[in-house]
Amino acid sequence: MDKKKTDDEVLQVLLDSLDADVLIDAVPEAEVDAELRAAGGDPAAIVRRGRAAIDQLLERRRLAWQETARKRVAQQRALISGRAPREKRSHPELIAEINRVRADPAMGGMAAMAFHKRKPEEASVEELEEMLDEFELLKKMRTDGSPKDK
Amino acid sequence: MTQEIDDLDRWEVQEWDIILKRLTAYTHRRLGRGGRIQDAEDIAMQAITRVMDPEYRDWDPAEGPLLWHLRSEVNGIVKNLRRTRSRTEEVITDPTGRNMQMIEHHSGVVDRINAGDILTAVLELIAERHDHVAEQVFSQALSGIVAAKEVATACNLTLGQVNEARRRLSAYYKVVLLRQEGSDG
Repeated sequence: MDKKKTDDEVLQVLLDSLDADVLIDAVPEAEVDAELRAAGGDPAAIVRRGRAAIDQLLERRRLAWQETARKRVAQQRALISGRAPREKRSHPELIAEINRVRADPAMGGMAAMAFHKRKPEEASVEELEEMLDEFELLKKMRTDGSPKDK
Repeated sequence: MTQEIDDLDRWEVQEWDIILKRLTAYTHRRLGRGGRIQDAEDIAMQAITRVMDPEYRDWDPAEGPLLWHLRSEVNGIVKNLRRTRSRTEEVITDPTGRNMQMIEHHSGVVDRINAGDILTAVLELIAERHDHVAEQVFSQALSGIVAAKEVATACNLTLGQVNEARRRLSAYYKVVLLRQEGSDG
């Protein structure tokens, strides 16, 4: 390595490091303001303009998030509505189906957590049907992953 | 969905006022002598816009504070500007979509003179001022140790002493550049 390159590198590292002091508390805020003013800037105006732009950026992120959430809900609804109507089953049949799904290793233990506070037998037919719908959706999400995808 | 809410929160809790001022001041320093504060403000805002764009390069808080992430973004933008400075103008776009004219910066002083000469001149100035602490900090920098905490430990100094010495070093460097510019002109 030639001497000039070494000096260049050393100088660059030193200058980078000295410049970066203004990013930390080593330079108090009052001195940052003074430095900006000395350079011809107006700290208050810099903040005002910056905040206005940042508010727009935050709003853009918020809208992007809402759009993602809307898409997910639509995907989930499409999955449920695309399913053939479920055959009416009795309470004992639904209990048996729930227990079968809860033991299914493909559900990754998540179904096993359902009804951990009360027994399936205590749920109504409607509640059991809803639970089976959710299990079905969960299984689809685990196998094809589509509702999770943005 | 919780992840997205957390994601919004981490941007909203930032102390934007001080971030804007520190980043603009840092960018102005990086532009070098002759760099305009208006350009520094535009570049700082461009860095923030990039970092807040989810489709660009997201900031991971686990990798460090936002300001340090923005610092590397600013460095990248300034580096690109230097590469293209043979052109007289550079157009950048601010978050509101307005096109802003970037005037070529004039920090050519460092490029025209030998880095070794600058380092020697800074060292001479330190000796002239009998600034023993700054000399220690400078020596550490020559060995590649620049982090204030590491310098403080290596030289048995307080963090405050190191920070003060670093500020004096910045001033010495500016004096050297002024002298060099004077002898050139």
